[in-house]
Amino acid sequence: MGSAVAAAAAKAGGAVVGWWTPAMPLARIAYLRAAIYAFLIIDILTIRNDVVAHAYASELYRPKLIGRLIPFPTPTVEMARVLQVVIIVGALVVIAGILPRLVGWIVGLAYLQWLTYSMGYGYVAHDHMALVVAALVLPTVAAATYTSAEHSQAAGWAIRSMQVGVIATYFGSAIAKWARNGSPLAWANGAVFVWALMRRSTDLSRWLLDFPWLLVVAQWGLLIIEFLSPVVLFLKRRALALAICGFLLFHLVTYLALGIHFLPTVVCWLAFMPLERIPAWLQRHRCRSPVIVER
Amino acid sequence: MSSPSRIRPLSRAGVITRLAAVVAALSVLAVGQLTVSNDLFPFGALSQYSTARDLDGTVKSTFLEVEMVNGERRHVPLNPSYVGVSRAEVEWQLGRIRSDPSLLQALDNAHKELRPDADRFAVLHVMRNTYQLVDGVRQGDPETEELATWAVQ
Repeated sequence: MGSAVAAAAAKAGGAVVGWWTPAMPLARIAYLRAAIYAFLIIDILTIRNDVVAHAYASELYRPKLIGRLIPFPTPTVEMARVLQVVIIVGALVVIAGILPRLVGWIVGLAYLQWLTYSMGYGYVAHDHMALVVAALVLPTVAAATYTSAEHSQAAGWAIRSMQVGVIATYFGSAIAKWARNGSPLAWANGAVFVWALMRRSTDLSRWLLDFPWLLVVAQWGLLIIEFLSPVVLFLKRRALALAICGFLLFHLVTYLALGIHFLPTVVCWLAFMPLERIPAWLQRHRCRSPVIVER
Repeated sequence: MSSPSRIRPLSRAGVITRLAAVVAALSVLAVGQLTVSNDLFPFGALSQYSTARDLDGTVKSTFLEVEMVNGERRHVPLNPSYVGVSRAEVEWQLGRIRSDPSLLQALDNAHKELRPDADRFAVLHVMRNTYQLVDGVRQGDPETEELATWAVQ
């Protein structure tokens, strides 16, 4: 009896290890690096671009635990500028395929420091978790090219970690709603969307305030999708494509209604997509172009 | 799709360190959700918009009004490009600011550096509008209250 349980546990353990470290296309890492590192530059310049301004109000700096555990220096304008240069130059170097592990680690740590400063004044943006995971796992994979035919378990782990980072953003949000309000029903039946629209509606969404029942229905829909989100980790092909489109559509609607884009999470959905097939797709489309024969 | 030309496996140590990192991260994330703590960033509570609001409750919105040196009273945007911090950040630190309004000097310091050619502040007023809801519909004009005041140094 004991040995049967042990055997079952070993089999389950093996399945878990196998799920977390699948052999995945190395080429996908090259595409993800290009997209994620380019996005890090966009993020520090246009989204979480408050670190320099924050440095002028340093009396209000109250870092989260990570800023108290890791001895980051007190944010100053000079430090912010140094981090900008390190992240931008480092990201460009990684995109060029040069020393993606060493430079990737430097960029990852600099970016973590940047975000510690950005989110150390009280407000934490919850759309960044997947992007931070991406910045910290991509340096664990060897150099990769866009046309590499190899598969790698290291690539598989990095991709899987990014996927879980994305899904955990939604599932964790559902758990947080439950924990904060004692039951998930309280949130879904409440006035959160009314509250959000009253503080930051757009011309496209203001009319919704006249139909609060519609917003309650939308709240139920969102909560159900968030609780079901882990299912996406096990979908393939068409079902996966539909799920991705569904989530991206949700973010588009939220952007149009509230001006909240959630792009740092949106960009990480790329980890679910078969980017390694891009060269083959391009090749097929090139072959389909009409050939003009001169007579 | 054709089968891969080569599979690069992970060493045993490679698998163990990666799985240990996963267990650590997911554990911190779980604690973050259950304690609803933002302190565990980047694995803290994913609590944006997670607080249930009562359909018959209130909606509060904080804003900044400033008496300028020329006597004019003006609404100044609570965002980093004006005063170094955002509305959400001021709301998060409201307790601290109300018990020690001298912290508002930081907003004036930031404004002087970020907008050196703009009119100077004389007195900062952190204000709050409270709107009443009934069945999720806003009822009339808000109640406005002053939360903290600071005469700049």
